[in-house]
Amino acid sequence: MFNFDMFSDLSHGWSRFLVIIAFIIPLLFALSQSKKYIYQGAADMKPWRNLKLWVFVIVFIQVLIYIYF
Amino acid sequence: MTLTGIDTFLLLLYLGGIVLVGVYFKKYVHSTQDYFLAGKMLPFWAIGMSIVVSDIGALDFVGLTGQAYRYGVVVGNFDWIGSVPAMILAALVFIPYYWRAGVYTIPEYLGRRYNLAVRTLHAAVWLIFITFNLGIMLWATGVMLSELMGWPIMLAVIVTAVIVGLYTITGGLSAVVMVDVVQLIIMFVGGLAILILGLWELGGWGAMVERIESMGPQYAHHFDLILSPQANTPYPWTGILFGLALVLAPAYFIANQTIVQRSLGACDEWNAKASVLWGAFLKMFIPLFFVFPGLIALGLFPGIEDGDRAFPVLIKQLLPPGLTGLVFAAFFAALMSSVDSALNSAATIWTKDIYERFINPRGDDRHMLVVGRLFTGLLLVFAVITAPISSLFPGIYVYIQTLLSFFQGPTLAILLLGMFWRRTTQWGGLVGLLGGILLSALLYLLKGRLFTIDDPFLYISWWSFLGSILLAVLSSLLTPREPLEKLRGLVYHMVLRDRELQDVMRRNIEEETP
Repeated sequence: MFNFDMFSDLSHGWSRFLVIIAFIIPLLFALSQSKKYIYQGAADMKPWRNLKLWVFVIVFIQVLIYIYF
Repeated sequence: MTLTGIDTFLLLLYLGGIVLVGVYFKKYVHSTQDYFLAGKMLPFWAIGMSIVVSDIGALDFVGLTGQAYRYGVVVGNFDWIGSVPAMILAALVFIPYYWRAGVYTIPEYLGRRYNLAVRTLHAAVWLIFITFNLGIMLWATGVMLSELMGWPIMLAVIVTAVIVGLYTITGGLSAVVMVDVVQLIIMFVGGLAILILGLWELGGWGAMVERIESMGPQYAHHFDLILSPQANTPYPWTGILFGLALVLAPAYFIANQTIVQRSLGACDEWNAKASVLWGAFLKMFIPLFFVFPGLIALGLFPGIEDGDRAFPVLIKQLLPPGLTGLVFAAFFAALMSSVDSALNSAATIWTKDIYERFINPRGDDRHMLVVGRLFTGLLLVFAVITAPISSLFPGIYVYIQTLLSFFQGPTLAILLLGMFWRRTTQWGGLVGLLGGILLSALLYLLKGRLFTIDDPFLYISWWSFLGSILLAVLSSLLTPREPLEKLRGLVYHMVLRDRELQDVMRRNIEEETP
């Protein structure tokens, strides 16, 4: 149990999938936030201040990295 | 290793520039809020850069490259899955929560949510760790500088302490953050120089991969981020996902005073959130400059017995005069950014959670500012005096880091329960924290019997986190509920969705702060 034996037979592909899920969950959480919350305190509503876009770019790059390696 | 004239000139120019930039910010410090939270004036880009550079120490500069030399690209997990998801959640959930609650320190929050014992225990453990770690960091840096530049160790320790002390004591958090911005740029330029020159020497990325993979079966997984639990590695994917991504990374980015304090100095809530996301973006590049050089060293100089020698060998053999000075400046940047951040955070906790709480609660703001600066100076002197003790205990750095990992899972557990479960009581918090720490220690003592990998700190973090949650939940259910008035503003939805309450809290904090 302490060594996560239940995952010992999991294929490399499924392990990679589970790891990528760890990035997708925060992305979905970010996308689900209201516009008001995302821009709260911002000086203006310019598109570059949309933090959902920031999260999307970061997660996109990370997923590419985990697919490549 | 000797530096040429141009290298020495660049290094001295850098060190002088750092001191000038840092001391410049003294003129903005008039109150404790200016000193500890940079007057809540910091922009997101500066905070994000500071978060990233504070996370990279001089030991990492050498250690990460050495680990990559031994284990391969899997070490990059610490900056990718071991940082990015936790930073996104920190940015969108926890930082705005702390920011709106108006707290200075994590122990302060724990004290309000639970009780004085939890606050004091957390503050004390954190302070002991940072205080002793400062001495260890300074000594390790002195040893490295002595090896690389031929300086006497204590001279290197004192020079480092004086430079860091000058800008940290005078300019507080704003000086620390702005100096960190310069440090990160230097580190990135230095790291990029090694990356480009190394890949050029090897004939490109493809040639490097081919060369390393042809070295034998033990290098077959050097370019795999996801390693099987059966592989001979301290970093199997199960440990990376459960121990690192789900416990240690959130504990670091959500419950670490050094990190959180920077975001609390943001000029507004949007900047506070954006700072951590910008930090996450920059963090993705760290493996390029610290992990990939380890692979480059392996491709160029296979057979180095001690992986930690890979970085010095790379500098010596690869870099031309001028660039060597730049990389040395980056090395200094790495060590100073960690020391200044630890110093500033420790001084904040000493002043707010110990001195103001127990010794002189009625001191005015001017007095607390003097005390904050005094503590910063005293901590630095203490670190210099205790630095040589490290030489008496080989491996003490690793030992201290292991002790800290005992503390990370339980802290995260009671923070999450306190924020998201109204039913958690003060006794639940105390039992969860204490019991979790003891469980970590027990798992560590029994590691030979319980775990199949050599250094199971990732697994210990996960199980102590779960154990801590279980203990806190059981103890909470067995003890009376906390009165609703006590919980107002301390449980997540109350802070984020109750504007009226936030105004009350802000007024309370202003009244509490003399």
